[in-house]
Amino acid sequence: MHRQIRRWFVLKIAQAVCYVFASLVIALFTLVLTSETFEPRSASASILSQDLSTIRIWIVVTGLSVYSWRAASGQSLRLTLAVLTVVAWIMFFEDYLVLDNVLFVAQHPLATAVQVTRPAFLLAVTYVTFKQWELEEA
Amino acid sequence: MKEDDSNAESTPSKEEIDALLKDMPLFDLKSVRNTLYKRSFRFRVYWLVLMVVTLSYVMGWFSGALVPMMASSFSNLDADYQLHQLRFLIGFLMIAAGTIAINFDRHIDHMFIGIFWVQLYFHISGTLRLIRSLPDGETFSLTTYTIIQSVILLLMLGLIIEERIYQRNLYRL
Repeated sequence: MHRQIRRWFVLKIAQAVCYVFASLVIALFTLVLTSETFEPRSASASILSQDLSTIRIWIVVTGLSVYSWRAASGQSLRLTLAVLTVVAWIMFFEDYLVLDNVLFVAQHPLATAVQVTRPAFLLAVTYVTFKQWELEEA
Repeated sequence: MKEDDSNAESTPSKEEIDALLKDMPLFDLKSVRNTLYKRSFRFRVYWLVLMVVTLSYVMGWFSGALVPMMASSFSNLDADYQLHQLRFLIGFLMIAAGTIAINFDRHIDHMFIGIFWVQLYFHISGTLRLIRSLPDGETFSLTTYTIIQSVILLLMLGLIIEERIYQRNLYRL
């Protein structure tokens, strides 16, 4: 019983981390798309980062909406979470391996917050997915 | 002499090991062909066409035929080229994951649903990049790219639908 409560608590914390990260990402991408202080290396780099930011903001908003709607209506969440987790990891690899040289907003506090919480988010979303899969399999 | 007998008993024979491993799911390697023959004709066709398209894409990539049609050729941005390389690698990892799912005959629909959404992300962002990078009047690259990506997505959608039909029929039986 004690272990179950602890697992439930960890799951809730992990879900909270995911929600916090999603909110930070939406705020950051809105900033990238609108701010004048954002300084890309070149005009084409600016277009690239804006294109990817636009797509990602839509992915985060859509993913969050679909997840919240399915959770509220009591539908299966495991596949939705699995897809979102895979996409989140792929976007992380893209950013880490390729786009590090394109985006120049790391000085902003919001960007720092996103960079700091990103590993925690990836761990949390992976944990939530595995846990959800386990719960729905049982 | 007695000691020799005990040694002989403690070492299982090859037949015994085979018999033990046969019932273990991890070692129950069903071949891709066996799984495909359990599926509908349409599922097999979709899979075969998907493999042909993938092979053509690899040949196009390594021969350099695809390079002039990529966004990096128009934007002259290293990040575009590296992004394509990374996605190319992820694409092949996804094909490998799909083949493994088919080989083990487990979670095929889940696997392809995941691959479908990742591919859709690549398709949308890739198309957007081409639209933004292409010079005015250049539509061939965009059309070719969109057709290839859409065909891949449609094939995967076909595989998911066929697998869902198969699973539903299996459940009814």
